[in-house]
Amino acid sequence: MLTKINLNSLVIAGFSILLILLLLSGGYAVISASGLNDALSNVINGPAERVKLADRVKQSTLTLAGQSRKLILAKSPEQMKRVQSVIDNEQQRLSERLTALDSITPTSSKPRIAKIKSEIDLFNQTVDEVIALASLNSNAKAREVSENQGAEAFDALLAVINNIKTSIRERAARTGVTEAGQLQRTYLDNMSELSARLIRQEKNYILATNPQRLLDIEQEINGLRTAIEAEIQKFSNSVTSSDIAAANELKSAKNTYVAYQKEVVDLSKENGNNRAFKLLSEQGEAAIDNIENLVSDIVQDNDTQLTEAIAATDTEYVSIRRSLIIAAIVSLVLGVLISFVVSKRLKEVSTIVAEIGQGNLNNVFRAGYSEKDIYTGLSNMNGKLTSIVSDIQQSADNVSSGSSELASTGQQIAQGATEQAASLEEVASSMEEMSSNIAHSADNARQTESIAQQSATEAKESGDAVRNSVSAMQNIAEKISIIEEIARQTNLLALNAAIEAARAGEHGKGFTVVAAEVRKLAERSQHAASEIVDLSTETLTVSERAGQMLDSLVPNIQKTAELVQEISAASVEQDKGAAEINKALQELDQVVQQSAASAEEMASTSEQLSAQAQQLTASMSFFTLDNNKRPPTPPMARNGNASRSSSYTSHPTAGGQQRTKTVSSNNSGGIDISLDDDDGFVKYSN
Amino acid sequence: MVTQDHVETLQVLSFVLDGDYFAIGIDSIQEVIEYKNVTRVPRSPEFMQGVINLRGQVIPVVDLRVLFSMEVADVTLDTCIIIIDVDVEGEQNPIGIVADSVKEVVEFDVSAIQAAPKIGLSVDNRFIYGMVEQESNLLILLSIQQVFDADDIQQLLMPLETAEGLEEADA
Repeated sequence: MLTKINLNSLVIAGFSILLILLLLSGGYAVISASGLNDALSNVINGPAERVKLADRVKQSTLTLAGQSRKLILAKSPEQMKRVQSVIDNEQQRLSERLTALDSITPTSSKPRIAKIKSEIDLFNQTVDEVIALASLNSNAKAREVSENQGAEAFDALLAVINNIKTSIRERAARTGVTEAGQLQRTYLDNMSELSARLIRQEKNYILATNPQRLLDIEQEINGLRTAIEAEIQKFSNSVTSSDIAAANELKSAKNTYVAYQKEVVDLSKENGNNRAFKLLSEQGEAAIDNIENLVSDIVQDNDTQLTEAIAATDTEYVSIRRSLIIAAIVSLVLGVLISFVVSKRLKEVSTIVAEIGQGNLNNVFRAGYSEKDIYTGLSNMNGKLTSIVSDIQQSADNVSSGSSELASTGQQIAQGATEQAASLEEVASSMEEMSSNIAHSADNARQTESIAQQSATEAKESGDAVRNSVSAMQNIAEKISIIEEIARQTNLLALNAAIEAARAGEHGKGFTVVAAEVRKLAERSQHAASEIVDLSTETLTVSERAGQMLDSLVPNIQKTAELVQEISAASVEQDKGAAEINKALQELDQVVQQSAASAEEMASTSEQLSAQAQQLTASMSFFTLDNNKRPPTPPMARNGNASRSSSYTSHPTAGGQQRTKTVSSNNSGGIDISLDDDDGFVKYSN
Repeated sequence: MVTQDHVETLQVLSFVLDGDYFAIGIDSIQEVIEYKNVTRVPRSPEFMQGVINLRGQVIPVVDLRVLFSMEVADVTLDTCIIIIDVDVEGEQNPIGIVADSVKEVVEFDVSAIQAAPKIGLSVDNRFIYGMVEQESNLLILLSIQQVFDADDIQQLLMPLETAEGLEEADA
């Protein structure tokens, strides 16, 4: 029954139940914990708080008592004021605490609080009284008067007595000791002694606290006063009229002192501090004791309440624990149940997965599982893997044959490239030879150019030389004409001589011969001169022609030089071009060699590819495929749309036949199947 | 004047005139000078080129070409004036004759002189004394006195002789 449920849903459902249980028990635990917390809070806020407040009330009363004592003992008004403000604050706090205590006290205990309140009111009244008495501070005031004005008046009295004594002594030194003077001195000495006793008793009176003792001292003081009065009276009587002034002075000083003393005695008689102390000690202590008793009662009550509350909390805890244990047991049982079911299903799946992992794709899948279940997914995967593995095997065979062809082609290319490289090397060497020839030609052209330039210059120089020679010839011709002239003159002279000789007859015969000879010489020189003139004229013509020819030659030679220069430049250009061609050829050679290397590499790579393809085939043989059971298309195809199924059927048609070939060549026992066959698909799918 | 009787040899001065070689006996020749400074004389006959001053003596110059009816040629460097003595009215007078060029003084035997042919010569037969073969050239020996003996020339020369000459002739 559970096989119908998807493994996924099963796991989700199981864990959901567990989760719900967990949430329920957790919620229960949280609620119980909050109940416990409330109980604890009640304990803390109720009895514990009450105990605390009661203690604080007690503490406040004690503080008030202490501060009151401090007030009684205070000397200066400033100190008193400070202490009084502290007392006021404490009273305020005490009333606040009491109100707080009252607010949290249950109604059953209210009468007790009212009692405490009345006691505290009583105590406060006592404190107020104490404050009133202490604020009189009579003892301190009495002491102050006694120490200041009293002491001053006393000193003045003593000074007056001493003055009188001195004046009496002086008088005695002057007039001699008289009986009256002796008497006066005695009176005065008594007065001094009595005054000293009086002031001592005054101090005692200030210090005394006992009322009985106070009365005793007062009587003594009165006695001393009357004694001093009597002595003064005696002195007044004894003195002469001249000393009346001194006696009066004495009397007034005594009166001043006694007036201050009376004030001291009156203040001391009040005895406020002592009374206040007494009041505090008696009534205040009693009130405090009462309050203390009441507070301890409250504390005791609240302690009892606390114990009760803790007992209740313990009971609640036990019940919560039981509930939680029951919930945990239920969860455990459910969890074990769910994990058992899930593990069973997982075991089934893992067995199939292990089979696939070992390459066995001939697994039998049971029907009746949900389509979304992992089991169905595994079934689909098995089918897909089967088809993919068979495809890969076929493709690997194809790759293997293709790569071997590729290898042979690559080797052919490599061979061709090597031949190309050899031809290129030949071309390069020819090119190098040609470029060296061109360079040689360029060099020759350069040399020719320089020679032509030189020739042009020399031709120009030759022209100049010819011109010079022409002018020289002209000079010669001119000079020759002079010779001609001379010859002619000589000729004439010779003729004349001959004529004269002939006239002379026989005597002149010899001279005639000489004259004839001279004439002949003259004629000859004339002839020679004319010949020279002819020759020079001829030479002149020739030279002029030569000059003209040379002149026309110079531009020709220059033209030639220019042309040769152009040829030289062209040769240099050619040389450069040849070098570039050479370079290009070398680059081409490199490229061809590279392509040869690449082709060889390609060949080796394709061999490797072939090996890899064979390795792939070997690897694929890991999967055991029962060709009978090989599903042509996965079951998904049926569920998929029409176009998808058509693509599945049309694709393998090309490879199908080839695969048949390869399978038959590799494995003679293989079975030829057609993937186009839809009948097979119908047969093997449910 | 040539004395053919006594002298067995004859000396002549040869000269060229329009390509032909002529010769004059050395006796009648004074000297040979260059052709220069010929001053033309107005209203003189055509054969008179003019006069020259030779060492203070004014001498008439005659162009033989004109006289011999030859073409008139330009003066060249070789052109010379031969000063000869001519008997005019019995007096020896110097006259210059223009020759294209003067060649040489030639001496030859009188026997070598041949008679001039009667016809076919450019020069009048009267003026030719004879012809001599000389170095492949044929020298025409001029009888210069005959040349200037002609009346017209004598006449023409007369006025040139001035009153002096006429006075002398008269005397």
